[in-house]
Amino acid sequence: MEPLLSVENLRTYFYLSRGVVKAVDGVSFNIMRDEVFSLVGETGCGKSVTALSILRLIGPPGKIVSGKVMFEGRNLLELNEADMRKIRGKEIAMIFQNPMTSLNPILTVGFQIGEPLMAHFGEDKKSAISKAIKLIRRVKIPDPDIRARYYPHQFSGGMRQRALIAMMISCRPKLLIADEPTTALDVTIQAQILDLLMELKKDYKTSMLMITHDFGVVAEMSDRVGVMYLGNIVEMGEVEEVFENPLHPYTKGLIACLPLKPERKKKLEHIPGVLPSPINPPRGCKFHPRCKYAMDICREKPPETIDLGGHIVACHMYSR
Amino acid sequence: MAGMLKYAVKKIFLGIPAILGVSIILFSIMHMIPGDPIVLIVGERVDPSRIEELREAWGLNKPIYIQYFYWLSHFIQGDFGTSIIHRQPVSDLIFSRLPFTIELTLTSLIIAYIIGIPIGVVAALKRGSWIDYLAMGFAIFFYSMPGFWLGLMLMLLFGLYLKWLPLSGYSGPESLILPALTLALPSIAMIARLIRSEMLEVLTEDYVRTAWAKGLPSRTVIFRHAFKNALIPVIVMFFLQLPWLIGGAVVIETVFAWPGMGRLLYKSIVRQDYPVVQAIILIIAILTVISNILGDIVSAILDPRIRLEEAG
Repeated sequence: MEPLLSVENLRTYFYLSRGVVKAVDGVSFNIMRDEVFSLVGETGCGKSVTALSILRLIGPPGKIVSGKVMFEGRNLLELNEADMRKIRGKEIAMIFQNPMTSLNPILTVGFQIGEPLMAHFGEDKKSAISKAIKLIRRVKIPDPDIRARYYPHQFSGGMRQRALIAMMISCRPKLLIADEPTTALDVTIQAQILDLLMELKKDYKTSMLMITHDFGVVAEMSDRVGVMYLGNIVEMGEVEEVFENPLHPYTKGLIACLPLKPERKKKLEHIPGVLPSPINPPRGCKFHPRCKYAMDICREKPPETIDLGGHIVACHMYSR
Repeated sequence: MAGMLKYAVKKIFLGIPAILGVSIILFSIMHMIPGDPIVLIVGERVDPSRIEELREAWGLNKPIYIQYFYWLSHFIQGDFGTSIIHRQPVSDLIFSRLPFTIELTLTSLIIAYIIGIPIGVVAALKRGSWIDYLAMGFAIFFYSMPGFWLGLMLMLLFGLYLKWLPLSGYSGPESLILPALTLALPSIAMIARLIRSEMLEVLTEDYVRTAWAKGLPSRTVIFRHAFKNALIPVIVMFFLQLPWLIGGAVVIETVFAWPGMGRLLYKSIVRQDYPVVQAIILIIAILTVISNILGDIVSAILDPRIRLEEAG
């Protein structure tokens, strides 16, 4: 089956005065229809930049250097700005990490939710806002017709994220990108937002790209997962498979870090070392300075991606 | 709307102590300046006993705080005293000139906004281009020029060499152009720089990224989402600039022989006409406080966050 979205060898670099940061350095993955795909990794691994690159929302000093983003047979990286605009918010929508700052403070919430309908379907303000009220009800904010007239600062963080979700599903996108949608929220709200997203995903038959650093969220929500480290996907596969049989030492470390079994009361695991400078990443395999299995070849040569029956890994331990 | 009214009333009440404070400081300074006002009025060759008689008649032998309350109560009733030089009520002198000053300052502010805002917005959108560098270069140039020198240069160019515009004085609407432009140029520079930096900041805000992600056309993103937010501090600046411009008008009005309050103030200082100086400075202080209150109220109207936080 043809994937809905196919990212091929994507490279997005940031040209800073200190040097070039290769935030995304040859990333490839597919998202099938009706699938939830997660990108997981530490802060700075390039997962958000990957998401922003798909919608071409990378501003200077960042630049998409090469690669393809195939969406329904078209390469998004080759569209002109007018055609790209018709994709954003309508075909592919994106929810951001920080709901506190992602809404415009001087426009009412109802108007902002209705805006994509005005932009993409030429609706007038009145009908867009009346549809916005329905969407506000759909994301379970109480008193939708009153709340539509509120300004963002009158909303709590959780409500703002609901409002942003309402805004981004207003045009029934085929793909919804959620960039750490719960990171900035209280723990009690996080589960509610994730439940809401899953419910909407089912109702609207939307595919989802979930960006997160939380393996718990991955396990709960997604079908497949890609693990990113310093601009590369180091392991990718079905969630159960990756969880039960992690191949890459980095994935193993991440999963070991999860405080899943509190009864053992042993010390929390962690991955030794820190994320290296993205301007001068280590030679060879970028993970080798933190890897307890590092061999000589790891310091010399970047590993190839190896496909072990749908479970993909980039590590010298598995090369023959 | 009720919250808005409450907010406005609160701001106005907070302005009253500020004006009283200024009046006290002003009155004290005027009394510390060396020189006997009676000698100034009647001259030095008058019999000292006559001077004492006048001192008593005019209440100048009373304690300073009594004099202050006397002056203040008259000021509130619109009686600003009598000019020593002109021998006519200060209020007549001021109110015949105030319209000229208001005309000059408002015209120059409007020019400054009409020209400054587009320059700043374009510079921000074309950041790092030659347009940006050129605009900001001019901005720094005009912002750094002393007003009187700029005025003289404009007079030389347009009045003396090209003879397009009257040199100075007031002989009709065309007389307004040069002084208004002189006063406006530094403001254009300031406004252009301000709106540029506001735009650059707002354009990196998360909500602007949200607007792009929604697929809005770029003009909608730039004007509805970025520009409207960037404009708030710039509009507030309009009100904060008003008193500053009246201060600047003192110099410009003198250079252009503009028959306004600023020139009256300058002449009165030179001739030690204290009642006039005192009244004008207090009026400027009151205008400053009023402008600040208006600025606060307007920013509350434009920014829903201020409106609800402060009134709530």
